[in-house]
Amino acid sequence: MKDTSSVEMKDTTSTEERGSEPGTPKEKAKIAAFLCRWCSYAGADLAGGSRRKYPPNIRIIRTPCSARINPLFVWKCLEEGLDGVLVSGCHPGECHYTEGNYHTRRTFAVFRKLLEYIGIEPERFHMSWVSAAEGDKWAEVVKEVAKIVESVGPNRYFPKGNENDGRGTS
Amino acid sequence: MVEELRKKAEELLRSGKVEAIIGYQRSNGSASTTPCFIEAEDEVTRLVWDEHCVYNLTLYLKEMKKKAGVVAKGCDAKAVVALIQENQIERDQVQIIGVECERQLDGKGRVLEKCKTCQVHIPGIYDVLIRSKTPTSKTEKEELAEEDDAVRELEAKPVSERWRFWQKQFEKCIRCYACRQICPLCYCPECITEKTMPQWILPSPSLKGNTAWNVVRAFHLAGRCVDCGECERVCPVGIPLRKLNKKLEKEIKTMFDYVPGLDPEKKPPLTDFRMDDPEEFVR
Ligand code: SF4
Ligand code: FES
Repeated sequence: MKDTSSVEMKDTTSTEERGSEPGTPKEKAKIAAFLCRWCSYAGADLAGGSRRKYPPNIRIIRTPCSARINPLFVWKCLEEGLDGVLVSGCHPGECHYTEGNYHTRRTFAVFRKLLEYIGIEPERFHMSWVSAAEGDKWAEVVKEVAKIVESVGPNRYFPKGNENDGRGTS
Repeated sequence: MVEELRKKAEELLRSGKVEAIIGYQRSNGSASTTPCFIEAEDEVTRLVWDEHCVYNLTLYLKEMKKKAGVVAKGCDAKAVVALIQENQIERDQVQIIGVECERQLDGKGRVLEKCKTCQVHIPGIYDVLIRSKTPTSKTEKEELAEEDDAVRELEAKPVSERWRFWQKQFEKCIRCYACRQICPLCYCPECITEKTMPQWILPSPSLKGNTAWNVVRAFHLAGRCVDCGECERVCPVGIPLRKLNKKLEKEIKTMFDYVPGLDPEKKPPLTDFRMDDPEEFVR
């Protein structure tokens, strides 16, 4: 059976249908998107419900609040070979838990600087505020993010095969 | 200074203000020093103070079950402030014996890097202050206070080169966790690197695991690290950990106008926020 999570699946639907730019499936960037359930996830849902088209590069992971998104989640994605990560929450002042996203904002303001500093291309990490009513904005964000992530090419930080992942037998 | 230090320590013990003093003693006849714990007044003669007193003794404060006095340089005193901010110790449980420090030397007799840019030769917080008889002269101090540009140098390099630089460094890591053990602010009873369900960080020395460990170590100290530089000093393979710490210190200063270890009343920046925090990077 085919692994539905793999990029190879994409060429079963025409790119036009998907609303994405043409390109060979192998070049498609894989992007993880962590969305808070109250705003951004609902916004993405609305985009889907209203049949907005956007690139299929995104893999959505729903979290209770953007403040739940530990920087380690982002690190883990990059470590495991994803090409980009998007973190999205409610607009400031609109977090379901009042101030969660203010903390998210500070956390990632700092964490992204650390990523850049240790040599991760800044094009790989993104953040957005998308409300439950902003289906259109969500589609736009994904389009932009996918384009930027693709512009820096695939993630080659820890190439598969020649890394010592600590699970070896030596 | 040593005489004065011993006298003050004796007074503190005699008055019952403290039950123990954490200080430095000579290490087996060599020039270097080791931490010592003094509980009896007549033992204060073991105490020494000179340019070889490098340890940050505030590391032991959290574990002291009794009222303690601690010999603290300017950088060490900042760690006390951070510990108070984070409710790890109570201000009235500790007597800070501040020492005016000019600059300390490493094992090979070279001035420690952190001392070259030190801004706190006199501790910002203390109960007793021991002044130096030969304080660093003003001009010299100004010269020393010149910005640490190790961070800027690396920032100026292209991103791929930074990656190579740090991978080369992290490759050396043997995961001894000396950097964590020596850090007065790394006090979690269970460290994320030891969690196994799920396992966030590969525990064995490997490029992946080492990178994750170093990223996490640095980030968990963001806005808290007081740059006592102990992690870098103890790292057996010579990873420039201060270069990571200083970067985050710099970013936090620019973005949130916050400097760690100065004000015990302030909230650490990553537990706090302002409505108008920078967000130009958010779509
Ligand atoms: S002290 Fe150095 S070698 Fe040991 S865990 Fe820390 S960074 Fe790695
Ligand atoms: S619930 Fe959306 S950011 Fe907190």
